[in-house]
Formats: sequence, structure tokens, C-alpha cells
Amino acid sequence: MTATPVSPWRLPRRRRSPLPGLGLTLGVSLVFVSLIVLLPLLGLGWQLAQLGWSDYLWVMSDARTLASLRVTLTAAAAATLVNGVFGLLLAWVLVRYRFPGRAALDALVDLPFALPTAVAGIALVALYGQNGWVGSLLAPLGLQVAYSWSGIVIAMVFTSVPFAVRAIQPLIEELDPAEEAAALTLGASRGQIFRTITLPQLMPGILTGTGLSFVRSLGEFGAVIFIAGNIPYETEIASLLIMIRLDEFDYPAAAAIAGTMLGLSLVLLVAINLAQTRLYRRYERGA
Amino acid sequence: MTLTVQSISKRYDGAAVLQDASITIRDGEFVALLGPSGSGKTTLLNVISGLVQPDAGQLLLDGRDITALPAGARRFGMVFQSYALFRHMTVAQNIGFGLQVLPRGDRLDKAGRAAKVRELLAMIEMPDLGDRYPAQLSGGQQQRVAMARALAIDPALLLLDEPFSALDAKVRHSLRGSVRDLQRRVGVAAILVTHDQAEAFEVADRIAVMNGGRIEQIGTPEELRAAPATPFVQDFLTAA
Repeated sequence: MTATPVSPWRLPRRRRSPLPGLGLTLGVSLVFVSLIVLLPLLGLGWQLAQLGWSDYLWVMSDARTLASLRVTLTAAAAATLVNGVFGLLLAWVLVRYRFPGRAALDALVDLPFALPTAVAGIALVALYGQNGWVGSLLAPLGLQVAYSWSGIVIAMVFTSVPFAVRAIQPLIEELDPAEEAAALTLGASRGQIFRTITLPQLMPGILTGTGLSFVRSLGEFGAVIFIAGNIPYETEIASLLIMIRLDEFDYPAAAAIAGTMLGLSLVLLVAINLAQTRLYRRYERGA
Repeated sequence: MTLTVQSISKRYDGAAVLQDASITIRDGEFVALLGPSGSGKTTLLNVISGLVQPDAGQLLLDGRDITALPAGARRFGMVFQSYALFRHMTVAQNIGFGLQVLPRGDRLDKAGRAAKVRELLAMIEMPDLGDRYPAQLSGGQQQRVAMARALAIDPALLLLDEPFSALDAKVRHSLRGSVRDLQRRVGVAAILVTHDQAEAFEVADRIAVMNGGRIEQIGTPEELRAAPATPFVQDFLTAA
């Protein structure tokens, strides 16, 4: 038996990914994500780490902190509810009906993303203030929107409604009208069809839309502070309190509140993602 | 059960899609509406199902005028071209849907509904697949589920809108036979919409050949072959 010489060409080479450029693109994206997202978060984490557990509890149990969290959470929840219903309606109208101005309305939905939120806040005050167009109509009824809790809700709705609409819209487009027709021939009423066929199929979108809208509302700053009135214990939102603590050079307190808000948002986002996967796995992918 | 379709006409945006279409479907009969696309056969089926309102004409079920009756109240089981299975529901839930949505007074109890669904699953030879979702089934299986769902409401009439067109040739062939078999066993009259004349000739007792919104001729396969009434029927039957 003669030994075959191993040619240098046959030496095992580094296996290459079938998609070229993986290393480069992944590297660039990781650097980018680190600079934009991770580094600031790390700063927050570092601040939090300076804080002992008892310090943290002390900051968080402060009456003003708790009040601001209560205001933020209830207003965000209310805004989310409004967005869930109104966003579903708006998305439905945009997909199912053809009317003049539909394209304009469709584009308008994204406006809150494009507008500086502070501008939105000022505009809302002009509208809902005591002398504003809408505010002056509501004042005689004893309803005060600007500088109150409901003002906060309106500002939050404004800045987060695109999330709800844009998350639900594609699912409405995917609905099969034949399924509705089938349900009709099987004797279902319009109400039953909406409850048992339409709504369950839109659920993943409603979940994402309202979830993102809630998280966005929790963190909204610009639009809210102009309309909220910012009265401590009453209409002061958490992100404003963070700002105030920073102004007072009370970094630990600011970090504690910010960390709490961040943790809450993170838990929510992960929960939505899990629920989402579950909903989809059920019927989108076969076994 | 006798369904009389009397002089049905329908226009969409001024264009006539159905003109003076009349046909009678008798008890237990299997009738095919055969014609090229755009001949109005699907529109006629949708008028019969109640999903589309005709502009003129009448539908009589055993002499009773059902023209204005909403689709759900007609109790006609329909199998759609794409099957239109509810993708977020299991096979069993799909089949049981028509039993579930009945008003409380007319509805079977839970055990009764489950028994009926089991019976239908056995009938379509899928007894163990009740927990699957439609996306997990083959095309032929989906078609059978759609069939069972339509039969679950004990329909007075079975409406089949091109039920085989989404299947590959081999499955299509075997399913034709089993659909016909199922229809015979249940004893329900059926209307099949198809553009495939071989299919119509294989399964139907009588065939209505449609063209340009009109029914050109109605007859048994033998009658059509022996004496085509119009040049169109002649051409259509010899072309394929």
C-alpha cells in the first residue's frame, strides 16, 4: 500500500457560512446596537448598582414617587384601552372601506411619529385648554381636560395610536372574507362572526398594538408635560419626576425610578412576545 | 326537498352576470353547474346560498319563497373553493361551528354536539384528527373537513363551489368519488359548480351548461352528449 501524499490543497479549511458577509454585518450591527441601546442602559444599570436594596426601596416608597407611578400607570392603561378600541376601528376602516381621502387618512396615522411630541403637547393644550376650541366647549359642562389626568391620557393616546393601528392593520388585510361567508351560511350572526372568527384572528395584532402602545405611553414625556399641569402627587408623571430628580442631582433616585419603569416595560414586552408566539404556533405553523 | 330557481337575474355595475336563469333541483339529486369562467355559475350558486341578492327572480324551497331569507336561515351547507376553514379553530371546532352558533333553544347540549362531531369525523374517515388545526392538514383532508362542516347543520341542500380545483389530479379523482358517495349516504341534494366537464360528467345526475350568464341547456350527461341544444354546448363539450 502506498501512502498518498496529502496535498496542501486538501487541508481542512475554515468552514464558510453559505451567506457571505455574516461576520461584517453582524459586527456592524452589534457595534451599532451597543452604542445606541446597550451603552445608555449599562449606564443606568451602573447607577442602579450603586444603590443598595434599602435605598431603592426608600426611593420607591416615597409618596411622590408612588403617586407619579400611579398617575403614569393608570393614564397609560386608559390610553391603551382607548387605542385598542379606536385603533381597531381605524385600522378596520382603512382596510375594509374605499372612500375619498383614505390614502390621506392612512398617512395621517403616522403623523404622531413624525411630529415632535412637545409640539403635539402644545397643540393639545391649545385645543383642550380653557380657551381652546374643544376645551371651551367642555368647560361649561364642568369637564377639564388640560392640566388634569384626562389630559395626560389624551396626550398618551395621541403619541401611541400608530402602534395600535399599524399592528392590527396587516391582520385585517389577511382576514379571508370567505371565512366570514362560510360562518354566515352556517347560521352565525354578524355579532357571532365578529366574536368567534374576526376578533380571535386579530388578537395577535391587538396584543402587540396595545402592548407597544402601553409601553410607549409609560415613557412618553414631551407631549404629556405640556398638558399635564405637572402638579406633584396629582398630575406628575414618572418620567417628569426622573427629570426633576436629575435636576436636583439626585442621581440614585432618578436611576431607581428609571430602572423600575424600564424593568416594567421589559417584562411587558417579553410577556407580549411569549403570548404572541403561543397564539401563532397554534394555527400558523403546521406540525 | 325541491328547490326551484325561477328567472334569476343579477347585474354588477351594469353588466349582466345572470340572465333569466331557471332550474329545478329535486330531492337527493346531484346537479352540476358547468361553464367557463365568467359564465355566471358561481354567482348563481351565491344567489342560491343567500350570500348574493338577485335583482330579479325567485327561489322557492318546497314552494316557499326564500328569496329574501338570509343565508344563515336557509340551512344550505356550502363548501368553498378555498374551503374557508376557520384557521384558528381545530378540526372539531370547525365542524361543530354550525351547531355551536344556533340559538340556545335549538342547540344540542355539549355532549350531543361532541357526539355529532365525532360521527362526522368518522364519516370523513378522520376520526383521530379532531384536535388538529387546518394548517396541519393536507389539501384533501381540508376539503373533507369543509364537507363535514357543511353537513353538520343537516343542510337541506349542499352547495359545492369548485371544491376540487385546489387539489392535485390524483387526489381530485379519488375525492370526487367520495364526495358523491357521502352525498348519497346523507341523502342530501347537491349543486356543484365546476368548469371541468369531465368532473361534471363523472359525478352529476344532471348538468346545467352555462354561458354568458344564461343556462344554455339542462340535461343528463347522456342527453347533453346525444343532443347538444346550442352550438356553444356542442363546442364546449367537444373542446375539452
